[in-house]
Amino acid sequence: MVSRNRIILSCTYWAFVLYIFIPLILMIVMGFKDSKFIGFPIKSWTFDWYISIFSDYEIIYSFGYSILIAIFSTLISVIIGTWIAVLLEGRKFWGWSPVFGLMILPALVPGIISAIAFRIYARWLGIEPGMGAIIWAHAVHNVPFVTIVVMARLSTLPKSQIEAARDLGADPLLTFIRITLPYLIPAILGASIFCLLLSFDDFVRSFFLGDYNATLPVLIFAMLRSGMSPEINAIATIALILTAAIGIWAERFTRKTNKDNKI
Amino acid sequence: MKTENIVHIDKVSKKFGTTTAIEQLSLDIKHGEFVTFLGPSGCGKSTTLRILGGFEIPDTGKIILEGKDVTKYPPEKRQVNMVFQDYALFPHMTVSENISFALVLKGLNKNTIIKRQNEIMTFLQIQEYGNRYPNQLSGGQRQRVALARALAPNPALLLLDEPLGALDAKLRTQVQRELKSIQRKTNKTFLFVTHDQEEALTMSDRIIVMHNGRVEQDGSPEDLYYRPSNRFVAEFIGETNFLSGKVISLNNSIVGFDWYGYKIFGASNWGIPKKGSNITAALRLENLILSKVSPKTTNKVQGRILNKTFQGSRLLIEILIENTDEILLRAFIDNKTAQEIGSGIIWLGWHTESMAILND
Repeated sequence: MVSRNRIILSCTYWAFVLYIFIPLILMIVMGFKDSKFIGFPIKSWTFDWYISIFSDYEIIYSFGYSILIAIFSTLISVIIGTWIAVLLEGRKFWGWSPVFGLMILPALVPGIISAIAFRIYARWLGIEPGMGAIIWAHAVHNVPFVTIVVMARLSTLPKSQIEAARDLGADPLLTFIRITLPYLIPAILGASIFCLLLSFDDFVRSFFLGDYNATLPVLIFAMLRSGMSPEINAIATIALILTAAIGIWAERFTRKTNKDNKI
Repeated sequence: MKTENIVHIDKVSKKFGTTTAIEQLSLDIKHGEFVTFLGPSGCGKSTTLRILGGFEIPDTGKIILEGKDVTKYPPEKRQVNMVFQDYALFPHMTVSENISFALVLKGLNKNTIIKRQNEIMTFLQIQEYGNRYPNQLSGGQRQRVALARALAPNPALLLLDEPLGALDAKLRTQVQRELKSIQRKTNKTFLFVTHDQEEALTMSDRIIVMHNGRVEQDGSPEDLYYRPSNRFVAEFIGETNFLSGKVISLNNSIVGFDWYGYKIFGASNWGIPKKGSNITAALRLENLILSKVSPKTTNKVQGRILNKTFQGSRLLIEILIENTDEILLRAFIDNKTAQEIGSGIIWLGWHTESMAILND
């Protein structure tokens, strides 16, 4: 019975893996096809699409633009998110739950609704569409993810660590810098990677709050309107490899630090 | 200002919500004493330590440390260090970094820090672990590092909150001896918290037994063991027979009382009860002398052996006392005595000073 369960389980697992990976593999394969028409059969292979995107100023520019937005919005959300986590975790005050709920809200509001709301709010405040507005919207959207991850980590920090630092002469600020922050690093790093990827991936907010400069997803969307091209597959493949590499590295780093910090 | 008492606790009370942790606690602790707070969990012993460390602010009362009122001082402003129950070593720092943490914060220069760090590491025999991280150490090694870290800034007072709880039994007795010798060598005041009576008896110069936020008894290990002043202390430490009766005679601190027609004498270390009042006396199991013939002790009764339980180096004997309402007394005797007395009717005797008259 045990072995039959194992077979069923592993079949389900591999079916799921195939379900996820077949589209990705197809996408990658089509990026090397020597024809503008996407689909089988593939008669000959080429690197032309990769060469063409690397020589396309617009694509390179939007790629850099997306990364810049991702970095700045991540920095902002990490600082604010960690700050909120430290204020909320382990504290009891009247109205804690509503405050926590409000903090979570930006992550739950559908993208399209928050994008429109941001657009209206930005106009009302007199903020021009463009990089600043996109960074602002991405940062607000990402704060809850940082807060939740950091709060979870913070809740496992033994209280005696803080007390020991105070006991040995550190004031609350020094204790935070020397003890709490190093303990939070794996969580902050994990949250940062997640924020970077969320921001890099975002289309709706960037579309509604952007000016004539397009982020990568917005550019791909624009390219799609003039027809599907293997160029898009090539861009997507590069983005996939980059994000996967960052994700795997972050996961390994977090696991290693978690293990080191365990006593 | 150098006063004889390093710590003066003045009528300190602390409540958590509706539960009282400490009530009107007053204590003086001398320089160089090894003082143990002993009691069951929730007795207020840890809270007392945490108040001294600055982790809790008392509701009322004062804490005077070396002549200075530190009641409202935060932990970082007190010349007091603590060894935590879970050691609380910083996992992202090496052993040397953990130990020098307080020294760096004091703003000492690098050479002084290294000198002090080496000194304390050599003293505790952990010099070879300097570059290791806490998760690469065994429980006993971590315990030493925690002690080294707390001693490094040369505190006036060292607080130890059940620091041996996580060690296995064998290592524990070894560390107990070491801790005591470290305390002697450094001549520092150690305040130790434990719920383990054996630990307290082994290490302390002075034991403060606490119960429900109050001090039940404060004295040397011998005092507490042989002269408990009340039922709680007698029950909490060691094994005890309790004998109750009406006071019939008083001679200084020697109290005579009637116990099922036997006239029994005990010693009181807290005062003199009223004649005719009902009192209870505590008698340690090993203080009973058993023999076939009438013993030469002040107190003696006859009884019949009911049960013998082998306990390794000794036997636990239960004796049904003659002419009582089936009262049982328990005694510890060695194997040789057990063979001599055999079974059946025997004599039990004990000295006046080995029976303590209790205050409740």
